[in-house]
Amino acid sequence: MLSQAVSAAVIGVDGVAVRVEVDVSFGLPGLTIVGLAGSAVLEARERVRSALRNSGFEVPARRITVNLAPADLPKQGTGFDLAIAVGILAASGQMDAGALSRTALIGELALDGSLREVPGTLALASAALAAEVPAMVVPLVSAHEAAAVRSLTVHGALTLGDAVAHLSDACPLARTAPAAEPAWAPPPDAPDLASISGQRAARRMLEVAVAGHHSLALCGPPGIGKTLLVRAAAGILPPLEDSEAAEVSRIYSVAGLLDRRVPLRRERPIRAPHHTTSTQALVGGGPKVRPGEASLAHRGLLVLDETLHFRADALDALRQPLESGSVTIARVDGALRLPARFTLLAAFNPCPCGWALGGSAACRCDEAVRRRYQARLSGPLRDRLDAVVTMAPSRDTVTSRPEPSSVVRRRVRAAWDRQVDRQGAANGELEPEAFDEEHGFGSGFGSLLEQRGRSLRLSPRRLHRAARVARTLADLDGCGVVERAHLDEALLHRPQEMFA
Amino acid sequence: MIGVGRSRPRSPSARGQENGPADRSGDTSERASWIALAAIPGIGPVGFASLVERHGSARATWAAGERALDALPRLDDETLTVYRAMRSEGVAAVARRLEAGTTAIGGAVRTASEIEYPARLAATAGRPPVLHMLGDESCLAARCVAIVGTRRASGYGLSVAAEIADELARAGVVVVSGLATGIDAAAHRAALAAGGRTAAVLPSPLARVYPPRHQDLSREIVARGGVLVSELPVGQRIGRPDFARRNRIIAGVVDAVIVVEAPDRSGALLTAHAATVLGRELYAVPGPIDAHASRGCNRLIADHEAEIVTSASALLHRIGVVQGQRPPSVASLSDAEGLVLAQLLRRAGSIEELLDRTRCATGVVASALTLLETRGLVSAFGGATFHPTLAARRLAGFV
Repeated sequence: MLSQAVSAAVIGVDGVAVRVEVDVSFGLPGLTIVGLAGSAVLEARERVRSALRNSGFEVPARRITVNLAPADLPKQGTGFDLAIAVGILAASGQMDAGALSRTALIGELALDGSLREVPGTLALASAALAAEVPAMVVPLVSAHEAAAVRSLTVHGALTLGDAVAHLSDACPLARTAPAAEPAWAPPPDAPDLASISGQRAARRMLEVAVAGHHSLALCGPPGIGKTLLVRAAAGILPPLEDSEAAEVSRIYSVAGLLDRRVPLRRERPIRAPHHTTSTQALVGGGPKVRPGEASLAHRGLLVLDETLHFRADALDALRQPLESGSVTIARVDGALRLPARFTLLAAFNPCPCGWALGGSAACRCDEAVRRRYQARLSGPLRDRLDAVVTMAPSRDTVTSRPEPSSVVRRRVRAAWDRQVDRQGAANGELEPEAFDEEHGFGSGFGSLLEQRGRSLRLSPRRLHRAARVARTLADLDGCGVVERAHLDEALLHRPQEMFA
Repeated sequence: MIGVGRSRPRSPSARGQENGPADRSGDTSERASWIALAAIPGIGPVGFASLVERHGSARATWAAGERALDALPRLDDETLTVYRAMRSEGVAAVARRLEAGTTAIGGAVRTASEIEYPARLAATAGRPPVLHMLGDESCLAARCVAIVGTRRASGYGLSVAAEIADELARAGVVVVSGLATGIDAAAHRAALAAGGRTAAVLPSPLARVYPPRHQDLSREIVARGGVLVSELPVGQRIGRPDFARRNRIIAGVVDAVIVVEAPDRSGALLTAHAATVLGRELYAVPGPIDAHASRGCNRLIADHEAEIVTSASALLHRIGVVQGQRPPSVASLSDAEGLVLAQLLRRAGSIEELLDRTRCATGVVASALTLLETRGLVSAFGGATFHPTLAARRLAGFV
């Protein structure tokens, strides 16, 4: 007899619905799984057999064939266990197969028949919904996470027996209600901008970077407050929009980093990998593709403290996501695309000893050493930075009181809302074609840009980046139209050779 | 082999009492002996002079054989090895090979007694016996002023070096420096940009410019009527480039030396010291007393070894050259731009300092700086410190 159950697999960070077809026929007793199953999937044979027996069901002494369709899609992981077990029960007539087509089944089986969670529940639930399957049974611990996909009816089951009882209507499980979303609040551990005095240019550009998603580098001597500023960015980030929250939560779900109590993440992610991080850890990849730091920072901040100490190949690998907003990982069986649209915040010293630009100590570095050090930020990567702020120590004492994070956050939020209203995306993602009056670039803007490009000898790419930053500066000032001063301010912070 | 037991070569020369090879048409082998002997590493200018004095001529020194070298204060294996190799190759052949190396790249070899050898340098003790020169040698006969300083220069040092070099070049003075990174390169470049001539004394052979990054700059110097000078023959293997000797040559070829920025124990201080010993005019640009890079300069001034440079025009006046043409002034500025520029003319600084000093909003100061930069009135060294350019100082009537 034949049965068909629905499950789902994670490919990259996206879920894909998988049909689990089970055929129980005459022949030599055995269980065969086909459909490009990885080793963890193949081991389902033993788990399913034991779980069925220990849950009081019978493993038919027949020839059992399990096909995972689409059969040409390589599949990994243990999430198909429940679907395979239920499929066998249906195919062998131990339960009614009627409900199987309307309910997706996800979960790893323990030998005693209890259900264990699998990573990527949120992505799997979205896949089920996309395949027009209205309901889903998941391990009880994952129920809240799956329920974050609101139009899906989610039931959490503790054991295989519970799931079977639910499917055959003998003892239906309660629907897991979507978790109430807690009111969004900025992270409490971020340092307040009010505690950072001076460095007004750096503060302003940090605000710009956060508001318009522009990549920013802070360069300055040790102890001037680069790291503190970067950490303070957490306190002025606006929350994620609905669609963004879904994307980000899916990535975190696949990476196994989602907070089960708050399945829909509202907080913009901030990832700060250490400078010894490998390329793979930074952009993703590996035998079982895992999202790297670049993807985990999707729609948030990727903070690279001591940027120049990162491996050169790791930094170079960031060029693609900085340009396209995603990482493509080539695999034997095709390329995978992981979303990675992050805002880069880099911080580094101007030279190995750190004092090349002056400060409380004398620089001990030779010009050639400084140059080599700066060259670690390769030309192409430097080209993809939107702004660099060189933080020099201030001689004069500052008397004015610095703005607190709450004020800056309101301004950033307002600037963000303006962007969403105008173009539905961050200014950092504006295409050069969008530099028109509709987007607040006046008729003279093109010629002004050209003129600045000539006198400062800048490439078109550099000018486009400055124009985007200028758009955000105008948004922060509450200006609908980008003015000359906005462009000039953006240009002041263009990346340039530090020791020309 | 050179003749053994022949009579002492006839006394040179083009320059009276000096011992030097005779003119080329007459006795070529003294010139050849001279070139070959000077090319032996380990025999410096002083060793060379003592050998020639003891034996009467370079040829006689070769004739005296290996024992002649015993008179050197220090004699290492390398010196002996090279000496023996040259003897077996033949002194004339060695000299021909060395000279061919320099002429092949378009240069010329000058011994200290030839008329083309820079006259000021020829009159100094410890002059290099042989110079390899590429470019217009007449440069070094003109008014020459050296601008030297640290390789780890600050934005301040670079801008001052450029300003002084610009003024000197406009006034027709040849700017001499050592082609090093930092102050040296800034001086060469500014002199070229002003349409002037500049001379570089290399620590390496002519064909192997050090630092290699300045290969293009060295070509530009030659192409624009300047000259490259080296003590070392082309193809000479060098361990470390000999900066100390290079720095003394710089002091020797010029009328005056200006130290722009030098920390303690900077190579530029060697040039300064040599300038004092040779009786050259010595000037030093003062810096902030807490600036490591200016410590050597400030000390030179404090110890009355160098005269203080208070402005480029005062320096020109002091050296006794007439100021060159000034470019026309620049278009008018807005209030904010004028304010920012006025502050910068008082003192260069970072944007943070400018914000404090002008009490303007961040955006106002930032956009004003870019505008001033596009008009060529402000230069930003790596975006850290903003300096008024020469044009800005002229606009303000400072220069």
